[in-house]
Amino acid sequence: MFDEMMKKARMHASASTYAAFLDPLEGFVLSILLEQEKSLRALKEKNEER
Amino acid sequence: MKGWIIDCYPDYEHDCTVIWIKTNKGIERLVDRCFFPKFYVWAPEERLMNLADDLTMFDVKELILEKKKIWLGEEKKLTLGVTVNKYGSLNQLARMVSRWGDYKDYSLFNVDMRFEQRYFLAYDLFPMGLAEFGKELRSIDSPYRLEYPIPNLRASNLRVDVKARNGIPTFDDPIGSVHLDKTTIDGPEESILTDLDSIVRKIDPDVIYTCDGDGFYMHYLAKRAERNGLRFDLGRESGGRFSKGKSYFTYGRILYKPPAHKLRGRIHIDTSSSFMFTESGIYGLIDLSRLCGIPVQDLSRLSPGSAISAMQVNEALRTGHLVLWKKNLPERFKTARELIVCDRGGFIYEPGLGIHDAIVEVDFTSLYPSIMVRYNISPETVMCDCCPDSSRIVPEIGYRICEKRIGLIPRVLDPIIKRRLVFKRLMKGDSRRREIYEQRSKILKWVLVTCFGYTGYRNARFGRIECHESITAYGREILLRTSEIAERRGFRIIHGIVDSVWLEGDADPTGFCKEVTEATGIPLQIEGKYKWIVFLPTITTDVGALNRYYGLFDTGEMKVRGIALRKSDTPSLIRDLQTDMLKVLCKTENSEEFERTIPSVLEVTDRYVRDLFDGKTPLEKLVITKRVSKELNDYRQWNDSVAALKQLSHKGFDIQPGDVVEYVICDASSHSASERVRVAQFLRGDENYDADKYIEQVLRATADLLSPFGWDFGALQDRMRSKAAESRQLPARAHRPFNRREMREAPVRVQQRR
Repeated sequence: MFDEMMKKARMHASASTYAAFLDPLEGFVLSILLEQEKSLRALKEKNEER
Repeated sequence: MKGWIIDCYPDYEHDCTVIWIKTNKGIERLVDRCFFPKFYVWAPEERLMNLADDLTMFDVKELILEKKKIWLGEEKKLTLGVTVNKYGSLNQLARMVSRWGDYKDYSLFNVDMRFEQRYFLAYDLFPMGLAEFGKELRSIDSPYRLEYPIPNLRASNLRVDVKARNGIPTFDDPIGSVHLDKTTIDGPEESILTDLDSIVRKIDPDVIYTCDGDGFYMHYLAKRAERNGLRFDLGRESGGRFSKGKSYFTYGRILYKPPAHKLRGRIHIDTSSSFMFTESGIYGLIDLSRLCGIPVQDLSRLSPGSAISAMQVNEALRTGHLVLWKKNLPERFKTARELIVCDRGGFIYEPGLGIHDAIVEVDFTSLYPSIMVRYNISPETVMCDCCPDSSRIVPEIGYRICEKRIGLIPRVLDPIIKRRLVFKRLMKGDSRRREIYEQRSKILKWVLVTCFGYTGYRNARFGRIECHESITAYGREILLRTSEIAERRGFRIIHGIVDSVWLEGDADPTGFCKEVTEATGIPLQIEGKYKWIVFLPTITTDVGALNRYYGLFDTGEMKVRGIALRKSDTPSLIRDLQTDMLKVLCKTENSEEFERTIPSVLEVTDRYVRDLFDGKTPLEKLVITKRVSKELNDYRQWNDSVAALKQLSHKGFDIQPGDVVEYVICDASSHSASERVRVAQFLRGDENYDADKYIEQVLRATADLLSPFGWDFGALQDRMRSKAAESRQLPARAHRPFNRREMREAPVRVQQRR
């Protein structure tokens, strides 16, 4: 599970660098939240189709 | 008389400068006894006068007060010019003056410059340039000419065969034979050396090419001659110019620079150690030599960065500046927040993994150098004192850039960028001279590439970290603007890295490039259109990696980056394997066909595995090349490279950090250095190789290309195992996952199976 989270953070590593957060954790958490939001939406859409 | 300057060097014994000129008839040696080098000192006027008084007691040729600019863009100040009487005393005198001022009161200038660079500047000459000589030496050429006559240089290839007892030649082994072009000289060692000497004198080549002459052979020949009581010199004049070899650490790697062995009056180029020669050939070297004022022989041993530094120094001196000795330009203090904002690299879009159809790649040509020219970035223009309210502000970080004058770096770079573009255009037209233009454009490319790095190098003559930060900031801004334009025009960005973007979509790429070029002022060009392109993940995670991809252009050409095939330590077996796999994939038109072809690609892998198992793979295909990073005693772990080093040291060979070892793995599980690997030079041809280890490498190399399609290393192993079970052709043990302990008990030997 933790590896999955790390992967999500890594997927946005370049973008986080560009945003230049003072605390790298901000980019880390935001990346994970963003990916979670994406999968939530995908699941919701799937549910509505059904 | 007219001719080309091919060599120039100081004669410290006689305090004169020797210049060799190649004419259409032959060669001329000129001696200049009038030139003496000069350095400058700056201090408040009173101190300067006192210093001048003190210096009169010493043996100096001339003391003169001159008004010079002591730093880029500053007003002229009164300085003391000291011309020395003896070539060798300049450094001594400079050090003494520096000590008198407690290393802080006097600023010294023009001290550590290349001698020939001084000479050329003083008389407005340049190497490989046409000059007229008679009463005086005068240039009748311009370094910036695009088409210029090149001297008809006579070149010879020198190769030495050593009767090496242990496979690797040493200074104690006698000479076997010497090959000069097509002539072979053999016989007793003494006669080989005297014959070589007389043949070189007879042919009188201007250029001598060797492979590893600097690293070994030139030194070796001299040592052998010494042992035979002979004098040995391949130059037109006796005496050489040598330097020591050294290991150095750069960009996370240890590299080894062999000692230089330069000849007098002739150009010795070591093709194996000259980066610039390998990259761009002799025409590139000649072009750059003209531009930067360093003779070809010296230039071939330098890095492109030294060339660009030399050009900057030349430009600075020409415009009345002095070049500070021991520059000390501290970085101004920055807060942590400022550092986080400033200290960044290029902009990157993570690639979309897997295969994509119909992708366009667009690139900025020399993005960073163009930014320096377009936005006037130079150490003296970034945050200059003269324009505190400048309207030119660096994006994100807010540095202000001078509006009043053009900086040194843009002045140097602008002609190079333009020159390279012209050569690139000419390359496409004239097929006869295509090679020449290609080499010239290639060397200029390297010069431009290194120029950016030098702005961030504290010890570079004109380095300043704020320039570096400004350039990357502009770079990120430009890439962002490019992607905005791309998306507005209906493209989807698949991947982007610093100066290139990969785009998907039906929009018009030509119009897009035109719009970006207009908007940013830096030319954007279409690198190519891919039928398909595969972006690969990093080896350790399955997130997309930068610069690991392979794709097929619509021209049928393939672009491959970051896979084993491109790496220098890959055995040629793996290189062949990946090339064969790509050859199969080359025939596919789109992703659908690509995926249908994967089974035939796997057949290629099967073929390699079978050959390995049957012991059919030739040993030379299995040679692994590894760069050594430490001395043998500093290694703590036990691995193949260490085994190879041990084997070498056993036979009396020490390998310097940064040098390479080549070996074949014989038994990866063995604890004995002689059984684990065999150093390539010691191969007899009947050794057994470790088939399992190489099969593992073959599977990894296959996974390297096919992992986005479900064929990672584990899947490939499973596949091989089930295949073996089906056919029963191969014994099952080779297909189990790699197990060290088991291997140790019963190592698989190909020969044993027969």
